[in-house]
Amino acid sequence: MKYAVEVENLTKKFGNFTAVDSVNFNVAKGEIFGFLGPNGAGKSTTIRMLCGILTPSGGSGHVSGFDIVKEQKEIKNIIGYMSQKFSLYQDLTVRENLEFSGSIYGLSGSHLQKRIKYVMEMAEIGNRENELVKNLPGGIKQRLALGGAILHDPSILFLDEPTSGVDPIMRRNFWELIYSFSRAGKTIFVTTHYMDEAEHCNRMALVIAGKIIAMDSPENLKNSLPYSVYSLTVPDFIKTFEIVNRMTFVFDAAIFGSSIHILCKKNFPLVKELKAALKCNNILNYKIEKIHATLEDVFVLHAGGAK
Amino acid sequence: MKTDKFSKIKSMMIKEFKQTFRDRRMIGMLFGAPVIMMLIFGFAVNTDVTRIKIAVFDEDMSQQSRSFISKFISSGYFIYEKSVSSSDEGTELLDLGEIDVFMHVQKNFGSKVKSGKQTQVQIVLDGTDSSRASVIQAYVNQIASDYSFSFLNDKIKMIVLSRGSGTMRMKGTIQLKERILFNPEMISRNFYLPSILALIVGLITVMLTSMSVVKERESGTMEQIIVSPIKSYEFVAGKTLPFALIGFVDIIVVTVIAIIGFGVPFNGSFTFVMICGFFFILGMLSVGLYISTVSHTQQQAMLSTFLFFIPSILFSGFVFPIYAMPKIFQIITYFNPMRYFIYVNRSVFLKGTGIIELWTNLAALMILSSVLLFMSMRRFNRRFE
Repeated sequence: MKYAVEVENLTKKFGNFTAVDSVNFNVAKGEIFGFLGPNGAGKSTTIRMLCGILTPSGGSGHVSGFDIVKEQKEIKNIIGYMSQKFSLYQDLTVRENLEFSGSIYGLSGSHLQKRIKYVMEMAEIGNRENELVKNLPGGIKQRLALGGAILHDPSILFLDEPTSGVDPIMRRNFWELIYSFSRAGKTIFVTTHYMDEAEHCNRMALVIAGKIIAMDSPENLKNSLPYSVYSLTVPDFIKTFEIVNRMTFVFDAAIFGSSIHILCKKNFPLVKELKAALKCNNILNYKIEKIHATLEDVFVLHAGGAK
Repeated sequence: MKTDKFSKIKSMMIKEFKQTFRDRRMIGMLFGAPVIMMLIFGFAVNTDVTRIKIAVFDEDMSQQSRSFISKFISSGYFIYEKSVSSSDEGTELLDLGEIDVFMHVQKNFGSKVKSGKQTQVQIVLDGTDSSRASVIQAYVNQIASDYSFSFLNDKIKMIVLSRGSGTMRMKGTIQLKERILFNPEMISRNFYLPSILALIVGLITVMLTSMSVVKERESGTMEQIIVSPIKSYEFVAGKTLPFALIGFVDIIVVTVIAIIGFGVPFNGSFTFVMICGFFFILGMLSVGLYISTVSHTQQQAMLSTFLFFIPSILFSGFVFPIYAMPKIFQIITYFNPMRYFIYVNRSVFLKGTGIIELWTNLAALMILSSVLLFMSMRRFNRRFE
């Protein structure tokens, strides 16, 4: 068995709404696989089908070789799941939460205590193990939730937007943890809507409206872009954006912060052409430079299509 | 890792107890509700018909009419509210709700009674509360017939004595000797408090179960449980057993308060109450579990609990007697676990009957709770797996 997760034409419908539309992908063992997409793209629905919370409407999926519909019992013991919603008991203490989580996975005695100790170190609980979870700061809670998911030492981790609502430093910390799990040989399936987080993945899938529209390593995705990307910085960028967007040689333009990213055919002399065009519009005060494509460019291109 | 079969259930239970006793609202429900209900039904709710306010229009003003009226006052049930001087005045007092009964003693009452002629006394009753009115009516009849009977008796004695034949036997009359069994003083508290047991235990188990399951779903912890290898029966057992235990404790507490605090007689077997209580609680936990599968928030669970509870109280015979219901509703009551548990409690407390007389009730409770458990587990499993 080569893959930790294999999915074939997996579909989930809620009434008339198709949340996941026959997606296909494989996740290799030990890989960090990202599911990147906006809210409502079907990321959580996919993860919930893989974890056995939802039953697929069509297609098939295997986790560690086990069928996600017929062999849920086998799957449950080898996966860890961290849901989007904070899922520890707020009215129990750190230790009580971990003892409970461990015991429903059948852990007990010194083994359980060892795992609890490990998780508490990882989550940097310090001496707060007897505090109610609701009194802990957000970042520690998040790490503790992750700790709860790996308490039983699963080989595959499903993380559903694990960093939503956490500040950037905490997010970086969190990703270091994820890397360490990956180094320890665990497979990680993570959903996110943060572009910068997706860069951390070995491989990623772009998901929009229930469909995977692109899937590769972040590097390949960026390189495969058949366009050159330029960044145009100009004071009145909103007005300029409208003008640039109308130019025929511009394949796509998008506002990134206070600058404009312009996509044009590779090898097109954009700088020269643009200078002339802007001059006609009396825009003289600007800066233009060729840049490397970011995942955001890839995403925007796929999400919006060409203008 | 080898662990024993019940370790998951055990740790579910421990967690559930901790959460329950950390939640102030829960504590209030567990201990406040029974105490308040006991106080209300022990002290405030009283359907015994006493303190009947009566106004009298005594047109006769004779010795006989006065002694007739005084029979009412001395019975202990009536309070002499007012003496009025016309029928209209009496009716007006009735309209205003200041009195329950108006009595009109006509002129010549005394002389007619003395001369052995038939006479009439008019009684006007406030029938707004029909059951109270019919009890008052019965009192009035009783007192009036007692009066005429003793009057007749005296008269016959006098005749007999005046003829000088003291040895002559009187013709036999039938005199009713009443003896009320099981609740001799007919105190309504004795009737209600044993039933409160069913109400409190039912309410607590249904509400706690439904709310605590929905709480898991609301807070997202349910998903964590679903992805774990815990089986649905282990989850349900761990979730409901603590509330079952609390239910048993409530049975004991309420029984003790009823006996010691309110002097309710307890004549039967407590073990039998507990056995019936076990199946009643099982049924109520199942209902709670079922409610949890149809509710998304704790508020919905609470509302659904009341939606279930109000009809089940109405159809239990707790306040409204089942025999007085139309046939179709009487049939409905057979599907109500509360009906049986209330009946068992009343019988065990007051009559002291046990399994020999009440086995049909126990059997009904067993069947109903098994069906409820089956139905709710099936529905729960569909949402759990």
